[in-house]
Amino acid sequence: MAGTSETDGMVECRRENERLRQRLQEAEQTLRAIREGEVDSLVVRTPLGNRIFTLVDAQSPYRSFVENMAHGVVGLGPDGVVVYCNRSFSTIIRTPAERVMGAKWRSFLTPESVAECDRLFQRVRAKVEEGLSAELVLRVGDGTCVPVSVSAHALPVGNLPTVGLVVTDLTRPRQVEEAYKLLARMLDESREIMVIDMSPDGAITGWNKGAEYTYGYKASEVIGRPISVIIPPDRADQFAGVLERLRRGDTEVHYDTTRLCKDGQLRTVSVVIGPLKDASGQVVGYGSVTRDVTERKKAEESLREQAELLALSHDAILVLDPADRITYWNKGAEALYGWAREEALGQPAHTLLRTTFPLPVGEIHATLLRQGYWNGELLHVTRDGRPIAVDSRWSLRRDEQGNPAAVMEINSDVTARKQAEEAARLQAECYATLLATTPDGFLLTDLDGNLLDANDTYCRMSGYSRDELLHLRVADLEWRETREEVADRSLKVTQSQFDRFESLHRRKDGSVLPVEVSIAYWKSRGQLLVFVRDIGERIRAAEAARIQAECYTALLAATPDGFWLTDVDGNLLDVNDTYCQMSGHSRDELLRSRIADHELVFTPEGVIERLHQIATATRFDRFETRLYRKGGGGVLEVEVSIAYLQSKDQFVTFIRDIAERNRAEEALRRASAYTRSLIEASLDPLGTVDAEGKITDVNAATERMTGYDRARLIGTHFVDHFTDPEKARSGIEQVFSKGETRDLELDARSRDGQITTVLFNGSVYRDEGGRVLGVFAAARDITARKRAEERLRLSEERYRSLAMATTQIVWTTGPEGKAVAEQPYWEEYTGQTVDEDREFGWLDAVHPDDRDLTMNAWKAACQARRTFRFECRIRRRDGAYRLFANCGVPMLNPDGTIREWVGTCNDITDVREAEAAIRKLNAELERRVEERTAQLEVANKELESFAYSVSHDLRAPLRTVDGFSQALLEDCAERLDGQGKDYLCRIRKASLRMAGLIDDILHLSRTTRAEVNRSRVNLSEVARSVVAALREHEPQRRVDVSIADNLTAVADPPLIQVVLENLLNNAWKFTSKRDPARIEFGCTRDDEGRPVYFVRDNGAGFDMRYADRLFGAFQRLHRSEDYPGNGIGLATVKRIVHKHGGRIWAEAAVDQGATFYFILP
Amino acid sequence: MLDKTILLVEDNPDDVELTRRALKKNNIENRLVVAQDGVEALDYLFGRGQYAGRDTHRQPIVILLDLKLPRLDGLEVLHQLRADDRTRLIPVVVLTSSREEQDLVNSYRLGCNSYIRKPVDFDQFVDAVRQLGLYWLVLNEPLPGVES
Repeated sequence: MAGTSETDGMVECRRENERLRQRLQEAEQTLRAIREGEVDSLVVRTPLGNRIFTLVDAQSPYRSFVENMAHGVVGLGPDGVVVYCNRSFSTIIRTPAERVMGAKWRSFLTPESVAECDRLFQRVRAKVEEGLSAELVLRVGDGTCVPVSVSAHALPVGNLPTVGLVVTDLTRPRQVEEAYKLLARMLDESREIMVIDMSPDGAITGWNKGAEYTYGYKASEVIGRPISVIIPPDRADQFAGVLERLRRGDTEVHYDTTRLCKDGQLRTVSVVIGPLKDASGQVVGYGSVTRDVTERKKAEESLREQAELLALSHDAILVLDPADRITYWNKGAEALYGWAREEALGQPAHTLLRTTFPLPVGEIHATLLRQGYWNGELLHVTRDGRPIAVDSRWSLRRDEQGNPAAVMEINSDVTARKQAEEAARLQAECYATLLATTPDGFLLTDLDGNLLDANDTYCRMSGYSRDELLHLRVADLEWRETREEVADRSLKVTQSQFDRFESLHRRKDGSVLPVEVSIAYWKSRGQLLVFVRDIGERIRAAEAARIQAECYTALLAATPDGFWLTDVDGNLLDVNDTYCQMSGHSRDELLRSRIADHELVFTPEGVIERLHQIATATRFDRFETRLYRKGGGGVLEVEVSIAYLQSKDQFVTFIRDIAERNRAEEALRRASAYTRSLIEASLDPLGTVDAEGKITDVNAATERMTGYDRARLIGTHFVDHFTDPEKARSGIEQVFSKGETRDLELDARSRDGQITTVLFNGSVYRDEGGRVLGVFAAARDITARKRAEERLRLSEERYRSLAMATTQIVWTTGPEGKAVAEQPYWEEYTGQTVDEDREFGWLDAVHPDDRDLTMNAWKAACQARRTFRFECRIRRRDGAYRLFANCGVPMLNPDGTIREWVGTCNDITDVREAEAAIRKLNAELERRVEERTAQLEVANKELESFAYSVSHDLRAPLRTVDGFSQALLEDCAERLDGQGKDYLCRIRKASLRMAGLIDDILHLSRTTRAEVNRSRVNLSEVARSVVAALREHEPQRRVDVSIADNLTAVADPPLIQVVLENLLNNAWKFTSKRDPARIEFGCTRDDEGRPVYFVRDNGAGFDMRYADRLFGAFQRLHRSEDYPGNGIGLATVKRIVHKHGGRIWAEAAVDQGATFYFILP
Repeated sequence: MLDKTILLVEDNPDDVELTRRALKKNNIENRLVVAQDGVEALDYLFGRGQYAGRDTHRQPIVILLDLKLPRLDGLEVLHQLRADDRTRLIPVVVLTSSREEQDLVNSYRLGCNSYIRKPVDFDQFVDAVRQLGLYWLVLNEPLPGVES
């Protein structure tokens, strides 16, 4: 019958489920309907009865609008229950809408916000107009808090007072606000960034930590003082300019400048400054953010130093940053463009110089990026507005990542050359104009005297028109000469090329025109050029003469060649401007000089000899030579053409600058001028020396080092530039004999006697045939080493500051351990005076017993030249000895010997005492553990012997009771009535139950004592064998057993067998009234993914109220008449599971079966 | 067959009586000698003390030995009688209340032939004794030199 009632229960359960599911579905449909505007009113069941909320006024579009609003919208019923919330609110509160609706609004508020919200609702109810919003904090779904702004409105819904809330999430604005505050605090605390505020009149009003750190002034020192305390005098104008720009309305000025620190040091800084405004927009001061860029600038400086080296000539050298701003501007640039360095730095180069590019700038940059250099001609405009042409060479410098970092631009002025070219072109034009405008008449004739052309001047002179003239012949114009005479003259001109004579021409009106005729033969065309000058008027004649002289001078001036007129002794009698420009001398200087003063190749005697030779023999000579430029400005490579003017016994000399030509040749020979520029760019003095030991080439660095210019260096003996020529000679000889020499230290002597120590490196260089041409010599200026020494000094300074900051005793000694310098820390600690600790006096402060040890440690360390450590006791100034850990580090000389020792002494007395205390404590603990272990062992022994007596002694009396009761029943049956027999049976039964209890106690005790020996156990198999035994025992029972396959665990096999036996026995036992009974053994997973095994049955179950008693020994939840047992099984199971470190629990309901879960970790 | 002596070493008179009864109920009529402690058992077996002069060639056909005994416990008795040629081969059935595994293991290690736990239920005890009698007294062929 039990089976039937059970089925009824299940049916009931299923119906209940169905009802719940239906209600859930209805609720969901209702919610959806509200959202989509299909519902106009709601009935809400509350403890006070049903309430109707109408949504009549809410048109579907509005509702959809509200539903999709970015702000949260909440409707509250009169009792403070949320009757509506939109999606945004659900998002803000991180809770599904269906759980928000129906909940109390107050339940979402933090306790602090509840009061605030109540006040808000009061205002709403009082219908005041203002203060209808408040900032509240909501408790959201996951337990965190969200700040929100809530505005409340009374809603006229039906006749019930309801409230509508609009909720805005303030999390993000708050975070932004916080971030700003943090940023402000960081700026205030930053050491790298200086934040300085000032009033409009320049008094400092704000001064952050960075400013304190960088400038050395405390805020308290400078607040209120004028900002000028940190502005160097030479930057005052710049700063005034900046302020002026800000006053004119600039919102921000960014500039680089220098600032003066308290200690007088100058720092290079990058400043951004802007006005501070109050709410009304009134400027109330200026705020600046400044970064110290001194270090960065130093790096740029080094690039510029390199650029300086390239300043071989007066070329302009610029270094531009990637934004084309000028970061370097050399003297050459100052000279060429007229802009001073200070004016040029920081300016955009091409704006400053008003550059005209031959190509689109983009193409030039592309070439630069591709090839690393670009070369071309640019037009620039100088400061005074003069346009100049430059030959511009750009080379690109990349940073370590390969990104363009700077452009070096080397510009040489080619204006003069350009001007000469232009002049030539102008000349041609000039001649044409001259022909047209000259006061001379011009005629072109053939050899027969026919006129082919005539200029306007002649037309004017003669009164004929041009057309009329072209029909005439020369003879028609001549007053006196016949056609034959004219023809005769023409013939003569074809031989002599030129003729000039005075003649008379006849005008058209018949009058006479006195003229001077010049005829030249234009051989290639077989024509004659005839100039006809009116010499009738002296004024016109003088004018013509002047023009001629001017023409001569202009020609001479405009020729691209230099010009000298000299006498036979080589004195300069005349020069043209071109040569003045070439040589750099003024005309007057030149006219006082002799050829020999300029000549570099020929000796004065050689010059005279050569002139003599030209005068007497060749008349003309042309050769290449070199001439000085003025003032060390280099050498002119020239081709001179000298002609002897016999009439005057003078020489006409044309001097052509062939440097361009030579350079081109050199470029061809050396393949790349780039190589040369690299050599020139080298910081190291470089040069070549020929087989005779003479210098054949040098770079700029060599010039700088020796103080001689290139021209004077070349040809001198290499060894003569060193203080020890023999050593230098041996170096050079070694190069020739061995091919190279390395790091030979030499002292070079400059022109003014300055000594530069260099490391000389040399190697031979050969021609294509492998023949040694000379030595390539490189010297490394080891001034760098001096810089290193400077760094060392700084490092020492740092070390000293560090020492000052430490609490240890810091000391230094000489190489053998003798105190040399003052030892402030040592003296402070020990009380020794400087004189007392000098030499080995410090040893007196070491404990007498430790002195040998100390000296031995020292000696060993000096020998090993390594860091050493040892411990010794040192006397404090109050006489107490304290234990110190000492460490010394040797400072080595370059040769490996010890220069000095630096070390520290650390007081470790307290550490040692603490260590001793800990050791003592540990020993004590260990002793106690041992004691406790011994006690435990005794207790265990006692327990075992107790169990033994239980097993042995307590059973014996029971046996007696049972045995003799049985004997009575058998032997005295006839003397006992039914009641007597019944009593005896009860005695027997009781003794058997007691025997069972004893066995169980022993079993439990044995389980508790058993050691857990784990191995992998197949639980499924164990369960199957247990069930098989149960079936065998009660074959008549109908039990559906399902056992999951292959459940394994790492556990003690016999113990786990006991667990499964007990659990399955229980399941078997408590389903004895079910038909069919169902038993399941399986496995699920807990939250952490660990396997949870379970044994489930559909048996009697139990009331969960007693679940905590389930696992206690002798606890029974059923009467033994119903389900026999002694209540020890689950206690045993629990102990076993616990011994495995696991956990066991049960879920059940009366008559609904039970499930026992356990975990075995 | 009736002369074949059984030596029961047992200090509890109740158990002696119950054992006697169980033997009787199984119609085992052999003479039963009871030693009340280990010393007495050894005296009997080796003809010493109160048993001085006993013919030690006549030894019991089986010894039922309790483990928990005054003076000398059962395991020590077992040890000594297995160490002596005269008693080495006598079957020994350990008959005890103890369920301690340790006792069982030690008994077998020292050479007992069987181990019977005395049940509280007298009926079960009778049953156990019946099987014991069947095996040791009926089926088991006595060794030469053992009392017959």
